[in-house]
Amino acid sequence: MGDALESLIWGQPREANVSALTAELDALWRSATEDAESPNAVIRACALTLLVYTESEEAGREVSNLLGALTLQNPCRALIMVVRPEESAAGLSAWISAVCHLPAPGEKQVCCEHITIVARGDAARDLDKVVIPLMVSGLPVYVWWRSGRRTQPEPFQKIMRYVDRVIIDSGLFVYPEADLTTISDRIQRSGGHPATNDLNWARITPWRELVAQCFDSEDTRPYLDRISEVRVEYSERGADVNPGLGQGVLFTAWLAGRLGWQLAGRGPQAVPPGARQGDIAGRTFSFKGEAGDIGVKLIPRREGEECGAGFLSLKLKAVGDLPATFSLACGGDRNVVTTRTEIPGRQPIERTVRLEVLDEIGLLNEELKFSNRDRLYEEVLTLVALMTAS
Amino acid sequence: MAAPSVLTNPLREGARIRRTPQPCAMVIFGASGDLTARKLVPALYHLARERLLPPGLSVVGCSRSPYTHEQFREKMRQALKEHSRVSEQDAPIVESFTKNIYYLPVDTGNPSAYGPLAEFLSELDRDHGASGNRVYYLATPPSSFPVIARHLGGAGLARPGGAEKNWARIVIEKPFGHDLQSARDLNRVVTGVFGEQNVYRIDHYLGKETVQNLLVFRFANGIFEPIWNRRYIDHVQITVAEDLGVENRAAYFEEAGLLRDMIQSHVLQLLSLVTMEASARFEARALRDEKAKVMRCFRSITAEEADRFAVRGQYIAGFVAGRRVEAYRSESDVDPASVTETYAALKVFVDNWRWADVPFYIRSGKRLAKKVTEISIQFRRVPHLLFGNRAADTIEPNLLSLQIQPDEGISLKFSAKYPGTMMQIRPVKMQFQYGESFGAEPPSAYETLLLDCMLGDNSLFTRNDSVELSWELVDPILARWKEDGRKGLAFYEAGSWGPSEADSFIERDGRRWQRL
Repeated sequence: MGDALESLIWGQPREANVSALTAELDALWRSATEDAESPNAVIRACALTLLVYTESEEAGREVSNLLGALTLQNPCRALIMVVRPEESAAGLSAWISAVCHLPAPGEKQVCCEHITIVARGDAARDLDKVVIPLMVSGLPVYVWWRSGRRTQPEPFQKIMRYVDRVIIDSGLFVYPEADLTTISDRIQRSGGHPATNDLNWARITPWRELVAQCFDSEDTRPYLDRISEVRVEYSERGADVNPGLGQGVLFTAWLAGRLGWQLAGRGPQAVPPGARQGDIAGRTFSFKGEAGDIGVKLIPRREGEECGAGFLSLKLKAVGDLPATFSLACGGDRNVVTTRTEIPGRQPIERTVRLEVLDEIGLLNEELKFSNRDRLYEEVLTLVALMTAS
Repeated sequence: MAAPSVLTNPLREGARIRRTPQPCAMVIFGASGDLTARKLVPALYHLARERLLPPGLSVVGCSRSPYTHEQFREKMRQALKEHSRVSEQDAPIVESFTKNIYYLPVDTGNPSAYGPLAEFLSELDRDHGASGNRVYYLATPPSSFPVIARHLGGAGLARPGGAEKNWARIVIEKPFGHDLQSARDLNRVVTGVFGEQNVYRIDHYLGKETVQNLLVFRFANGIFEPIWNRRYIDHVQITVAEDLGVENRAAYFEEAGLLRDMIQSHVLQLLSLVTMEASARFEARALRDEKAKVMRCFRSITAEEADRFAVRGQYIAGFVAGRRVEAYRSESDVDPASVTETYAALKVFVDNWRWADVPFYIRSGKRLAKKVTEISIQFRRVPHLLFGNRAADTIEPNLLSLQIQPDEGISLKFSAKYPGTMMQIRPVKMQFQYGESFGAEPPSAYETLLLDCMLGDNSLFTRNDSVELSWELVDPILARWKEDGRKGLAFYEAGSWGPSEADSFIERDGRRWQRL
């Protein structure tokens, strides 16, 4: 194995000629596979092209550091784009490296290609001409939109013609309600192509799963039609972005859509009891269901760091002859959640299960397990647009 | 696969959230045994930890041993420490899981022991909201299967509440009988009490991810199915080799032998997956219908034909993985003059339009050169050789290999021109390895199968007709071997690929076993 390749496999990026990136990559891999019997032999693995959109070199570096955990589960050609159109000096530069891992002792290293392209100034307009030829033929192309910006710059729209899927993180949006509405409009205009996935939606999947499980039993299923109150507490620690609020809105829209609730109003913003100056107000929504009115409160809390950026607890109350309460609370340890079902005259049913707080890559790996459109998410976004229309 | 038990919950519609069963009580008979501690409880714990089990699930261990609830819980906590990945952080989850484990001493042969069990389960229903749903797991010796089934039926535990919305399922471990007649007897009793749709005959082999992937490979790819037939395939080999001996199962194995232990169950199931037609839907009944349909086409082998279609062997001392191992006859609990086969090879034909005259060579054995399970599909040679004799000598037929374990993957061997001015042809291999393309850890076979059972999805469980059809194939061979005794039993060195008679067996047809 040549020195050049060896250093790449150890993750050291090498500056490459932007106009001949494919040829440079091919040459490197050829030298690696010629030495197939060597104990340092490597296998080039690729199941998709992943384009990562970032807007700062710092963000680009962050993504580079995360790629190892991504390619372990999803071998891909990862192409990190650092797009800086506002810079005065125009230029395109590129680095290539490899991300490798050993599946098991004694086996060959499995390596994925990692290309970073920095586009500055006017050169950002030519980004598509560099990126499109680097898409691996015959394999899906996904975009990980790692930016709080919800609109795509012009050259990126040309790239989008060849993209199967865009993965956003609405948790990075500064104004989640308005921005989710924009995403919803775009999905409707594009007819769902490329498909859109949202890491902030994926963050609440385990919570939705646990809530759904509360109503699988024939004893508890009827309560689903009699829910009168929903209370969502989420962690809000005064940062610029509000993943918890977006999650709360998505969760509410999901419940409303699944249970056929009609939006009746958006109440005054809820201020949590005991709020301090500077606390951010949550949201309240009211709906009409088959069995009456439903009130939903989204309440931000300063505490709860141990639960990660997201929900701290959920409580659903249902009315009826025997009113019931279904609650889920993040435990003292960030990895667990305790669910509790309380029905008068019965022993409460309580259990504690794992609730992994996944980082971005963990969430991305989860999303990449699915290859189809998430139509439920698209439906939920439509409802979010209704709920947040001013 | 369809999950009828959860469709009524609108929160599950259209969601990517995973299937979870309705609340139920799982009753494990033989709970003080190894299987419960090593496999069942760890599998249930992992499912619970991953939020795949419902709130209100309770586990009730039953056996003769006089444990209290707390003693049994402690035993299970210990089992989790030893047999599953439990970290310090998981302590609250372990506590929550084991809190719902109970124990009831039950003498399974005594019908009056089932009354208290029924009462106890009713209490759990009330406290846990299990609605009368039950899974009975028989981790007991096979002789207890019909006894427990009958007594459960007698105590009204097989059809709880008599209501359609409640369910009771019974899981039984192989062997499902020791010959055709005993399998029929067992089926009659168990299906008589529970109904066939509620009988889950567990074969952990079928829970393996790569076995399930066989169906995906065949029926989700357009390019293989058109050539998956007698016109293009010369023959198929299925190898299930183990480097281990009989370990602590000698007493059982002495009675059973390799043909019953491996081929009648696992290998014929694999064969049915390779040869079946596509079902209309990926749904239990349709899949199992297709499997049974093709098994009806397995050509019978009469006792008189057994020598031509089967070979048996027994290992003698040898070396496995650099370690000297003793002969089968020297293992403890084995008769020093035992004629039990530890190796068997069969040639099976599938008499239908797709497979007429294509031989399926099956081999399985203990103490072979390595642990490997592989299905090798050898295609026919090209009809005309245009590269001249010298080049033609090196043309090997295409070979599609489906590696089930350990290195799960798929490879295709084809010919390529060696670079240069001469026409030299070399076989090359195109390889797909699961570990390279998907880093995700698959669930264990028991996790998959236990969850499927609770969900009411019996696709990966063996149906009564399949069990009986597989016994129909092997019964005459077993009868002949029993009659022949020592005569015809070949010996092979431990650590080899089986007896030389097995090589001659396939070479008679102008073929060779694949080097694995």
